[in-house]
Amino acid sequence: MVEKVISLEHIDVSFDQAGATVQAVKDVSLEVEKGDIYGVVGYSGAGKSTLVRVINLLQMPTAGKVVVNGEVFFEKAKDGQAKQIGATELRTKRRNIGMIFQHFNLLEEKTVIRNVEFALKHSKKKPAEVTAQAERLLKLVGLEDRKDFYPAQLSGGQQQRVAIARALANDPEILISDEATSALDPNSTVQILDLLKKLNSELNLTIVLITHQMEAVKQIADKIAVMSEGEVIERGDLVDVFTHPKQQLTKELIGTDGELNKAIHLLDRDAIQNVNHEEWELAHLTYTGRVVVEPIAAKLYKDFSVEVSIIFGNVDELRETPVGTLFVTLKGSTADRQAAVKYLRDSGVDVEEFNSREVIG
Amino acid sequence: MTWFAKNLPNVVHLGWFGQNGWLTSIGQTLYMTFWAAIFGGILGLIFGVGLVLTDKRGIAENRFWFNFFDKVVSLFRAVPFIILLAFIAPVTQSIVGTQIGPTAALVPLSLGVFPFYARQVQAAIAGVDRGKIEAAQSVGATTTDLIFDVYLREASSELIRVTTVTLISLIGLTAMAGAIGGGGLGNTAIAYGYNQFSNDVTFVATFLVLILVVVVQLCGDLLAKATSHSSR
Repeated sequence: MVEKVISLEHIDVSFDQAGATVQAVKDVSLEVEKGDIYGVVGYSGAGKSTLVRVINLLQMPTAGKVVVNGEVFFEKAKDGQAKQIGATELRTKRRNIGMIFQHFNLLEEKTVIRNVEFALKHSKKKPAEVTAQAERLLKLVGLEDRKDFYPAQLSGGQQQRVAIARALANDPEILISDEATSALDPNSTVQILDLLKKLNSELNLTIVLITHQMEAVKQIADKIAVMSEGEVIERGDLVDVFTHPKQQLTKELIGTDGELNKAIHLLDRDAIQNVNHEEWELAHLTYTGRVVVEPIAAKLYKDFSVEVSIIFGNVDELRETPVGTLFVTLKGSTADRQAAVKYLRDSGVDVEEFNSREVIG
Repeated sequence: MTWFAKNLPNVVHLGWFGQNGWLTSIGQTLYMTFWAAIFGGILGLIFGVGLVLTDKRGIAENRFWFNFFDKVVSLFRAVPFIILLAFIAPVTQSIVGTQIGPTAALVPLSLGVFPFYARQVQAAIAGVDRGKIEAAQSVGATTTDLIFDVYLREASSELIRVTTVTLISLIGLTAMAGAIGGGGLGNTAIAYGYNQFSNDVTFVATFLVLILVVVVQLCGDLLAKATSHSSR
């Protein structure tokens, strides 16, 4: 049985803004298991940041239940009384939940090592041990030679590393990353994501990753939840959601929509007008893992008398799983094409079909 | 000395020491500025920090205390200093035992400068990025940590800047306090210069105040620069 580290149940968050009540999070439930890298994605304003701040109660929910490591932090039925842990206990518990931010939020008037030590101010360690711990963490993030620098003297990627060291100071089990790579250049982004991945596998750190960058979740997340207007509209295993997106917004976010439009755009419309509509279709093939080793085009032609022509293809990596996308047109009798598509599906390829009328629109 | 005696006879006549001497009045101005800065400064810091902490979305949001701080500061700021001097004379009498002299002037000076300083402190620390507060809270910082390690420390160079501005305005106030018996350079300029038609005395007293202001400004700028490690 897997251990539930974070459990949010029916969370509502609303704000009073200029007299009106804005509901930032609506009835969201989320469960994160030990060792997960859980991506929460969506456009800005979708309520992602508000939702994750509920985990360490930086944001008080209006209703719902927050349980971290089996301990109830907050519980309130819609019309009931709020029950929440005391302020002192909350401060202690927060040290078990590290957090990193888009703009790093380091203390600019303290050196790198003092920033990390600040997180250990209330630990029971002796001053020498605090320094040793801070140095160990700076070494872990590769910045031991920068310990006496001030944050303003470091690059964005380095500052985020310091922030990670600070977040890990109290050996937390959970790390919340709030758009941590959104302000970084592509190179630093990859490095920070690699570091997070390393921390996840070496320390068995549970990571909740909020981002609007699909590349970030693609690279490291195991599971994702898609948020829109305060609600989770789709969730599941990363590869599942990416290969079989159900909601329009999800398709938009991961670019499936864009790819189909691109394929249609690339086709010669006049030529399609003239094809035999009964013998032609556009197919979107998706395959995960290393299933496709056979020469498909040749096989389909030889065994099923279906002519395949490739419009374009693409291979993506989802957390080390290669995911291929191929847009092709299939030409042949309806029965032959059905047999060919069945063969493809049987060999693990996902096929989405569009007839000529859909294509011409 | 002859040049001074010829061109600034009244200035020389006042002498260095004695009750009306130049060093005495410089000393009195420094005395009033220093102690009023300490008392008014502490009061101003408490009110300034209090305003930010208890404000809406502050880390110790509290409508009652916010209103208290806010109203007290506004009230004292609304009273013109010269009227405040007269208005609180009975209070001064009961605290210091006299209404005359530099020590007596400390009461109205402190009360006159603190609301000004409180507003400046409020603005300075309200400028500390909310994200820094959140980050500190996420590692379990206490309210005391947030006040000292985040708000005051992160706003330190801005605080030094507003302190400089406040000190300069305080030097101005000490001149006014001098007018009702506080002593100092302001008193010299008015009582021995203006009132006795000795323009040379007024001129020199003004010049000395100007030097004081410039020195404070320079020290403030240097200190603000030295304490800042931020990229801004």
